[in-house]
Amino acid sequence: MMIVSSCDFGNTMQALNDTPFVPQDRGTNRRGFLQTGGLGLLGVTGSVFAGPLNVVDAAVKGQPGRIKRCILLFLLGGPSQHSTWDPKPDAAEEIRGAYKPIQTSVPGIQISELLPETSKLMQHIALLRAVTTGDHAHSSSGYAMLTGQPHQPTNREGANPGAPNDWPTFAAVVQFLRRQQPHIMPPAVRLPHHIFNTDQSVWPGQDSGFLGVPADPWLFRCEPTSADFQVPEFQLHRDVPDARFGERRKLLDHLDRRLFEMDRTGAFKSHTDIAHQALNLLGSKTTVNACNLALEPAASRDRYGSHPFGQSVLLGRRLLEAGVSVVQVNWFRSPDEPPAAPCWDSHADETRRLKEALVPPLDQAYSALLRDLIDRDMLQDTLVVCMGEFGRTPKFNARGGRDHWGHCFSVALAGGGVQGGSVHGSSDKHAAYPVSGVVRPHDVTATMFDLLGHPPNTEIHDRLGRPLPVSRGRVIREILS
Amino acid sequence: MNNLVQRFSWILPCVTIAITMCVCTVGAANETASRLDFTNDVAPILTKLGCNAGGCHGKSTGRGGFKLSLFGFNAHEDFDSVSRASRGRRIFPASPDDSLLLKKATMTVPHGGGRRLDRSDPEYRLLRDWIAANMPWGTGAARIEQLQIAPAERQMKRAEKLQLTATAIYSDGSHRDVTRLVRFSSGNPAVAEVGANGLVQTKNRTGETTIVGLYQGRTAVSRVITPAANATAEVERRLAEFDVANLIDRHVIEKLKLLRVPPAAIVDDGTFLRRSTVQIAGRLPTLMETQAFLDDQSSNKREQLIERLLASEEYADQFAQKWSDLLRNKRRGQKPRIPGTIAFHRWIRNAIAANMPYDQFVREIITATGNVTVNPPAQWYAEVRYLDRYVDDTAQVFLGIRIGCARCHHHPFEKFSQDDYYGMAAFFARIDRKGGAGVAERRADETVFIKAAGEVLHPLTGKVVSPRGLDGEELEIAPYEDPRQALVDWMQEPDNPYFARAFVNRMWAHFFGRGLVEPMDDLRATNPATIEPLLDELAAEFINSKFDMKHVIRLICTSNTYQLSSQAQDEDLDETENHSRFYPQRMPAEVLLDALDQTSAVVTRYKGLPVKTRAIQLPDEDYSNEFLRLFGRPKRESACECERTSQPSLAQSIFVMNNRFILDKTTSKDNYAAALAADQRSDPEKLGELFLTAFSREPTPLEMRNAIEYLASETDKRKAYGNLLWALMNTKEFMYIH
Repeated sequence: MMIVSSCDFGNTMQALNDTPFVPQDRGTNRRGFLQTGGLGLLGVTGSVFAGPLNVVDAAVKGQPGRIKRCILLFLLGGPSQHSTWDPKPDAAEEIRGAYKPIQTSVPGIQISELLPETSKLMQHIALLRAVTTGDHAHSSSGYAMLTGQPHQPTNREGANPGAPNDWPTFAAVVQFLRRQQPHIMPPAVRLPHHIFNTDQSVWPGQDSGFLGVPADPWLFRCEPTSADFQVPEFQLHRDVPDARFGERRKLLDHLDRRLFEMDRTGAFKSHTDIAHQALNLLGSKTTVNACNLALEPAASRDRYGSHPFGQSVLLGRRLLEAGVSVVQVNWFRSPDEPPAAPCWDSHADETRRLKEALVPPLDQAYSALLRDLIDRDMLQDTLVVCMGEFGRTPKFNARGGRDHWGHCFSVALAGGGVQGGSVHGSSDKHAAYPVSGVVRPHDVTATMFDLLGHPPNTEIHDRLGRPLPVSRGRVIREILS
Repeated sequence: MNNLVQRFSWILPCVTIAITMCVCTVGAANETASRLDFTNDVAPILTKLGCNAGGCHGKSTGRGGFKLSLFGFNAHEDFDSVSRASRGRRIFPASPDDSLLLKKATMTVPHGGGRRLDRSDPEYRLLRDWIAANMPWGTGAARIEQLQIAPAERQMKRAEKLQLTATAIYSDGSHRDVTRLVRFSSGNPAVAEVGANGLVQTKNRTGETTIVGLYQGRTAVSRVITPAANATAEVERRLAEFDVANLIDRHVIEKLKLLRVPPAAIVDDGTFLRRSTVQIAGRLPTLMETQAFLDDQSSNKREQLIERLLASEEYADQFAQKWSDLLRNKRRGQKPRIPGTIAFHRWIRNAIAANMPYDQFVREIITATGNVTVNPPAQWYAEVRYLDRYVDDTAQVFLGIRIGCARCHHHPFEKFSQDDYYGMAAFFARIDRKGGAGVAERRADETVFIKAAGEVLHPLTGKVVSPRGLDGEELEIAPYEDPRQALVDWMQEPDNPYFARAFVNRMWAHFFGRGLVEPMDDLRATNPATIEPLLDELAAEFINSKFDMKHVIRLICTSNTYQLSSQAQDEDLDETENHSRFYPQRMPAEVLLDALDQTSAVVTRYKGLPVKTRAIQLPDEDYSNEFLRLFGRPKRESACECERTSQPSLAQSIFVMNNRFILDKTTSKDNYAAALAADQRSDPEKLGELFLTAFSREPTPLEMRNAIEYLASETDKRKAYGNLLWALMNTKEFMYIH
């Protein structure tokens, strides 16, 4: 067997990189010229629409962001604002709930006593206390929070993906904009499962939408708490151990040369580059190790908590360290949830659920994450976002729970670019409606994109080639440092 | 700000041009200001400066309280907004320089859109004079009728400059040089760029591009061709010796001669067999077919092959899938709708197999009524609902027009207005539905019928719009008649500029990887075909054949253009549009999965379907399969073929290399590798067969030697053949149609 050394392969790659990129396949062609504002119709589109907005095509120009990466903790079900970030101690008991506020490390800011560890880190956290979607259904309000676009129609429970609700999720836009960044890890990863309804149907607004499948953020379906936990995607299969994969790779290196002549046109450049990345990724210790929680000291694992959320956040931190730009950790759905009040959807018995199942794991994992990022000198260029799809009703219902409430709730941002210890927006005395500083979902996404170096007017294109800004919102400068 | 500097930076070096402009366009300012005309003088400036663009005041709700019509399509409305709205706060005739309009544009006061204008600009002077003259509306007599760009076509050298001139022709016969006010854009900036002033600059590349100019809702196109620099005698010889098999070759070689790019060589038998079998029948050739074809000595074996493939069952499978995508045969996870989707898929497949004339095929779909179980094409109406969807899908699928823009505003690069859009919509005004089961938006088993009457109202004027084809006459449809029949009549008139062209262009794109017009479903004056006469003649051929779909495919596949090798030569590395060679395409998801199945001899199962069902035969969008999803199978969310993506992604590569689903095909105990390992023949014989199976060709001597050496180094033959199989299936040669 003629063995082609990997170094030789590298030279081939180099040679390919030198050739001009002339996209061939239909898909690439379209995109290729969208980026350069180029060929045919869409070129016209680009230039005519671009007009006065000074639209930045970040895929081409990309500017350094204030931060490098972002981790989004999504509290599926909708946490109560009263018992997390916006306590109302002066309200009647049926509104304020059983839990009191505590002082935080920042004088004047109080959060729920269920978040003792977090309260010590308030100097790194900025709170948005008047976020509103005006939408009280999980799937449609969740779509709004994850994409920055209102669902059509609003208040649609059990909604599923599909036009017209096919705006790409935040992580997908980043995956798309950063698709050509040379890095062994993919730009965006979601953990540990999709967000899905009790009937197993998935929410809209979680994947690439009109950007097309290649922009889908990776979805690691995993159980990070299980003993033999692994991320199958990035781990060589048992049937094909390292040695055999090496053999295969050499065979492929050799056999895949026949169309080399054609490669000169650049027709396969993106294919070749990506295949190369895949081979490197599969053979790489970086990826395997990033996904291997066993390499984390036991003490560290304990600090995040032995629950799925804690271990998912820990895995998320490892992925960020390995070079992933965006990690979205979804709150887990476990089999032992009460059917009437799964996840954070505390329609019944909220007081007990909050204390026993919900807030302490959040407090533990969130504070551990912030501390780890500080210790690793990463917090100044990492944005940590903690949000749910909406908040909960001011008043308890008859079952001791709170119901859906999209009028007013809180989102916490921490880390890079954020003015720690600040609060933007306020709610009324029942945390029912915004009083000042209203923030809409697209303002949150605008801020996230902007910090990452993709200004909100960065263009993406739908399937008809129409230029669209990644977010129509306003960057919330009030909480930026 | 940067934009602005860029936009006007040419003024200094191009003094001559600037002066010309002043005289021609802004020259009006020197005449008596009272002769200024809002529509012809003022509105174009608002467009040129971008004031009425979609991101700014052209947004449907305006911006900052100031609303203009998108790209200035409604001069009356804009006149009102500028001069009268908000109690005339935007203008100040007593002191024109203090008008808000000008102060905003020059950023004298804060302006979200930044600085668009300088006080020294001629546009500024014109706006000021117009305000000083008390904002005349103008005579309103002369209306722009046509925009012309000269030269309309020009052959240019590399790195050469050319100044275009744009002339507006008015209804009173007058004309005016509007070069400075036209928005220019280049179709292919890699070939030539165009500055805001209409100065074209060719790059160092062979090719052709269109330069589009947009002015006051009128468009005009100029074509710029840069032939290859030095054609050698060898190039001339290859151009001269190219064999013309049919009309396609005649047009293609003519264009290549113009560009002086030589055609590639005719491809070898094995590659041609693989290419045509994959594209016509949606599958790889079998080992036996390959051997027989390679051994066949007859001179017309390629024509015979095309005939065999067109007559095959798999041809119907392949194109049934294409039309099921476009016609959105979709169940949306609703079980009760399965009989409908299966019936519709079967109906399409039967129509393709029977070679139903395309005009009839389209008529049966667009005019479908009744219940899907009785009349399967009614499934189209089960999925495609609501007035805008009918119009958008009909236009995009059958006419190759993306008219959706005109639903809300004048199409930005076409002549289509809301009147045209709602004229089309009026054909669908009598559709109604009844019956059906379920509470979902799309009820299963409902019946589509035509009401006695029904009308569509124009969203702005509120008036009833009569049914009217694009550029057609307004029609009067008698009560109880189905207006959709009149729509199809209009579509199928022999001089309809869209219907036949859209189909042949779609077929061209299927086989050549890109349409003559690209994107394939975006036919319009500002997006001409790369070889316009070819598209015309092919469409005429299609009409003359009485809309015979197989005839078009036969013409394409027996042309020598289709038989060109995909190997690029030095002379045509840049050539990516005019078919001097075959452009490789990644196999579509279903075809690729079937190819993997066929090569490995391990079949994929689809829930609820018979064991040997292939991916290409799946009737609707259901049957979730991760491989198909990753490789771009569309969810049938749109009527655009672009929904099917062939973009490579990391997820695909990882999946093919490392997912259990694919690994099983190379490691399972009863796969092709195991059969080869157990086979008693010699390794060279078996390797020959393996390559024929996967690539439809024999291994090269080097490949053979390397493979034999590799096999010798392995004790476990099944594993060794499994590794070889994996490697072959991961090559580009396997995944691409080339």
